[in-house]
Amino acid sequence: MDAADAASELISELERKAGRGELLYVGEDIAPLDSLDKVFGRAVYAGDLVPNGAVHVKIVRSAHSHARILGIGPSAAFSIPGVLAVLTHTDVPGVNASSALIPDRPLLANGIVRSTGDVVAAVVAERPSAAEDAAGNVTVDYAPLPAVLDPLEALMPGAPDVRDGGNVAGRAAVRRGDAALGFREADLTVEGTYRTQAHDPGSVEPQVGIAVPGEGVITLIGRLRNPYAARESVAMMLGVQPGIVRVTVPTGGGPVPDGISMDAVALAALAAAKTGRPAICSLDRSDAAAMGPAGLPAVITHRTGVSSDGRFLASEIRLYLDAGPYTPPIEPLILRAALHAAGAYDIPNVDIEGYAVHTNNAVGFTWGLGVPQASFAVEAHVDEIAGRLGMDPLELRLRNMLRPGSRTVTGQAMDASCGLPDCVDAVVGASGYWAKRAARSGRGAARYRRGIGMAIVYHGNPVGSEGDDYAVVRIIIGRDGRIHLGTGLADTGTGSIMGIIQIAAGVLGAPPGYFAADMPDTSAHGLMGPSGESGITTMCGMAARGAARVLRKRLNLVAADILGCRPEAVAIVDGRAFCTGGGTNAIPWEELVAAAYDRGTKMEEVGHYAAPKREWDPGTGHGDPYHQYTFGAAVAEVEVDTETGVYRVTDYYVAIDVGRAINPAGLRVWIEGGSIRGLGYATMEELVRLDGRIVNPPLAGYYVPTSMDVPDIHTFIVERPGSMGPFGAKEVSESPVELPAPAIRNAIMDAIGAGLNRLPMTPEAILTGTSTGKDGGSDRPRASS
Amino acid sequence: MPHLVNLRVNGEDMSFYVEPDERLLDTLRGRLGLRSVREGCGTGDCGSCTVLLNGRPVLSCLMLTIQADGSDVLTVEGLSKDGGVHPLQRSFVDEGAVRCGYCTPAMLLSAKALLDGNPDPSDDEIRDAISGVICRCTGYYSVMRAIRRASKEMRGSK
Amino acid sequence: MIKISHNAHRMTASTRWAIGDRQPFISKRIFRIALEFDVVRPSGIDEAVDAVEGGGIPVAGGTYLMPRIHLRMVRPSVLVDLSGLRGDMGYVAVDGDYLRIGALATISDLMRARIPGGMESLRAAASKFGSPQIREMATVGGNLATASAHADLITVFEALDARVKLRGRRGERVVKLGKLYRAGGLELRPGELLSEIFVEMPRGDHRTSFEKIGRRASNCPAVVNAAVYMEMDPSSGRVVDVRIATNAIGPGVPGRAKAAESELRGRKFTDDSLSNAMSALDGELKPGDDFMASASYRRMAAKSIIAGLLRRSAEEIAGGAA
Repeated sequence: MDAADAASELISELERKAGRGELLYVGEDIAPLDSLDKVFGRAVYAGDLVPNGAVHVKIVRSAHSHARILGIGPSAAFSIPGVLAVLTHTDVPGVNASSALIPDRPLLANGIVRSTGDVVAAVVAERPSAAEDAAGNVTVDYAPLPAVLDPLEALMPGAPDVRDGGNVAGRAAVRRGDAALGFREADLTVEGTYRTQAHDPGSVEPQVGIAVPGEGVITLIGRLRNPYAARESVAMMLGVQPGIVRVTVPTGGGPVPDGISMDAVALAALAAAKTGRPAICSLDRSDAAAMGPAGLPAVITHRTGVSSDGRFLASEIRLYLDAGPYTPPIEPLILRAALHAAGAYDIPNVDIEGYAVHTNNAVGFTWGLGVPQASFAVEAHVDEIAGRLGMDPLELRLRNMLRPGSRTVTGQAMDASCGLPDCVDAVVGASGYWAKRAARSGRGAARYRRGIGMAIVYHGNPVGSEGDDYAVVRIIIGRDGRIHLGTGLADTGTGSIMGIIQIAAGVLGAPPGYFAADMPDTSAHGLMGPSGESGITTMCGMAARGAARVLRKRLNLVAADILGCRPEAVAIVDGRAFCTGGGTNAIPWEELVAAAYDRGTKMEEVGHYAAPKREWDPGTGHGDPYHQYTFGAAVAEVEVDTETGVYRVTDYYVAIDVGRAINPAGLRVWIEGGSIRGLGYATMEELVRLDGRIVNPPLAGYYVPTSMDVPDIHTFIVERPGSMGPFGAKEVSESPVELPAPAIRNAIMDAIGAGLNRLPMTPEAILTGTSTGKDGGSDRPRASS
Repeated sequence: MPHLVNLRVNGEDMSFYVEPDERLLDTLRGRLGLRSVREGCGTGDCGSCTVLLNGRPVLSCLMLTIQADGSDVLTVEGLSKDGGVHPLQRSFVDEGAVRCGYCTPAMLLSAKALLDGNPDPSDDEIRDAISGVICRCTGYYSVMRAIRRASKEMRGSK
Repeated sequence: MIKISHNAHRMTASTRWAIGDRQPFISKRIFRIALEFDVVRPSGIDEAVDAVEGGGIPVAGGTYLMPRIHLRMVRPSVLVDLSGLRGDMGYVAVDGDYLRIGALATISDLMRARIPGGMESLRAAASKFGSPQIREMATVGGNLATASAHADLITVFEALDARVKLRGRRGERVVKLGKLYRAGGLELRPGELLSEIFVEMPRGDHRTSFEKIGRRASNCPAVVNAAVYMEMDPSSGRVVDVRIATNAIGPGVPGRAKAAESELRGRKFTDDSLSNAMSALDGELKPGDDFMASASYRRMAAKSIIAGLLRRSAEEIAGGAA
């Protein structure tokens, strides 16, 4: 073959690929670009960046859930050699808070402690051992005050006030139709109360905050979800202009990009300001668990009116989330929980109220969304209803669940983008659900019993009515052709950054390998990233696509000029620009970019994306609170030893409607990983508190799944494009985590004839109907009819 | 009083003085700059400090360096030499088993210890070999797929 | 204010397979664990005994002690590192009628050793012990010396009627394993160290077995564990000897359920004798209560496990399974 033929063949191949347009790299299984660094052990985490000469900060946490501080005695601490300072609230130059978003949560307690997560003092020393010893030597005189440690108790009349202004931290309500009427028309009303536990993300990387003072700038390093909020918060705390604070976020040990490093970073900043030296504050596991983030424990009550043929006519739900003593922006969280509380069903009459309740529990602050709690409760309740009706739970779901043409609890219409029926079909088919349910009739008295159960979820995205759906992404194409992507997002293993790169790469026509994702650095360029706490792939993907489109137009002009065709005819595929429909000339990417530079073309673009505001009226409960929904379904199979309560999940089937799979292999791994985190949430994870004190810190005592715990898993990806995300992509985020608990719970109910109404589901709970820790009577499983 | 220890680390013989209470983790990370050895918990529960000592996986956060005197230590930095890539490293990338990456060195070393002694492990043996390393991102499946794939490749190339 | 001397923490990405040289700023500091202590390294057991008598805390694998030092639950000034004694004390050997295990044999050593048939309980406990890394480090002697309710090997060796050799200043003595423990710790003379655990090889038709329940499938302390040794005449079904050990016997160190044993010993193994044994067991179990499980759950689970181990042992012996 001669050169001309080879060139022709190449162009044909490129033209074929060009047919995919902007979707060139969407749907491709590309390994995240930093995978190589990570397998060589070269990834850089916060703990790798401790500067020489750094001082160490160790905290002294409150010994009581609620107490007045009568005095702090630091002198014994100073007897330890190497101790430089014992910081208290009087040392805070600006506002005494670690986060601008939670201004009522002191960085260092001032006269009063309201949970065992409150920090009373921080010792600064030359060596970690000295700081640790000294922290043990700080004496604090407390006058204990009455503490309330249960959200329901906190709402009872006469309960001690956790805060001035009462114990309701926030509330939200969702209403549809006329619930009272619905109940009157119902043939059967079923009630249930469900409880979920205090939960820790259990990330393997410990919480570390570093502050490095420099000339006119102080640099902060930590695993921070929102570096811009961190900058603002620390500046406020130090009483300086935000421009003086620079926040950088290295790779993080994920997958949940926790926000708790805020405390570590703020304390390090304070120590650095006081000593003029770099400072590192590392929180041990007990401290980190007490200071948050924790999945908020919840008590959720359901009352559902159904017709005898299994239609849900009315649903009354009350959610009580234990929010601890302080007030993060809790209303979006409560609203999200309330909007998802009735489950993925079309229910004509709904009365939902959600409360975030103040207690003196060390709950910390969290950006958890309340949906895992709500999903467990509603999906458990649906199986309870099925039991009372004598109907198969799948059948009951099929009669009521969302599908194209139905409406949510706020009246939002579901269209063709509702992939829930596809998800259900996938898992029901693959698991052999019907045959196995039929085979189970006549359970007998066997010691080992098998069961099969299911759950469905839906998940509104992105932030929707809870906040601003807004993201900023910057793309710079360097003269050497390298493409730098600035998203404000840190890499913690979620795969989001890779997804955004694949989107931008397809628009530009340059392979993902040409990209580099910049580490978040607030000093690099202006505000980046999403303004909310979720919606990463969708909002950043849209912003990146916008920026890439602008750059692509400019490159098309340059290429058209060089190749001699119209700009509309320019195709760029795998880093080669050519004219479609004739000609065999192709310009390599580096040359094209150099030519663009030579022509003075601007090769930097900032993409903004702001989703239209959602139309939803909290008063009437009517409207479309989210732009699009992710759907999911799961089937779990268990085998239960009815003598010891020990059970194992043998098989797990999960299907998620992701809208558009940008990186299917990566998505599969994310769904698998989320399923196992959900498995831990369902079966073993619980922060146990005695008198408000956590007795089992992660990872010693707070158990997360190991490889020996995982079932055989079967994953299905459904694609029903959404209306908002890039190319129809939806947020997958935590949907996989929301499914295992109810699916496993319902499988256990199938196996033993009684349902657990509390998480985690331990062998003891199965055997005795209760579990360790405080319980209410409604935990007792009810036998199905 | 400092103790003199002799170690062979990633194939290189070295001697140095260490403090008696110095952990192998501290020596590898702090003295030798081998950052792939990580401290996730300090109590032996997470496995991120795993290194191979004389070919066997151990928790370097629980071992004093002087206890390792005279031993052979392997970390991920020593897994591939001269710009090469170990089949396990390649298969981890290819199977998407690398997410946040925090546990990846410990997983790789656990897998290497398994395959060196057992080139054709069963699925149960693979699962058991990584049971001492906590991963919160992958759910372990892609890691097990990667190890299976690498074991095939390593057998095939013999 | 101190200048930032190096800003090298860029996260870059590339599919180019060349390995770039991006050395970030790393600290050469040694971060020691929480406490500072000295370590002596005896090369022989007499030296070790001297050091322990002098107040040093012995450490073998470190899997029990080091986490506690890290959490500041233990604050030693001197540790006595026993790892140098592994050459002499790391054996697992059959010596005539006895299985002898050096105190410094690791759990992995136990699993890899060719233990003669009929000692299944040892292998079962070892394979469920911790994680692969912990099995390489933890020692049999170390586990017995924890005196912990969660020490699976104490349960196993109690059922095997093991004895331990203690080496002290004035020489060696042998005690039954159960006698090693007193409330809150070990019954040792000053400076005494565990040097060996030995078990008489069972004769006749017998079975050993072990089971545990934890919060997850592996690497967690036993909420309930139990080990059974049964010797039975296969033709008559008469139980020649039986030993039952469990950590549900009390809130502390695992021990023998002797009342249950006496209902079975010398009698034919039947549903009735098993039922009587379970009643007796119920009377003597006093399990602990903590965040992992309540006492009443431990009681139920222990009875179920033990009944299962007993039944299976009897079936297998009667069935003549080799």
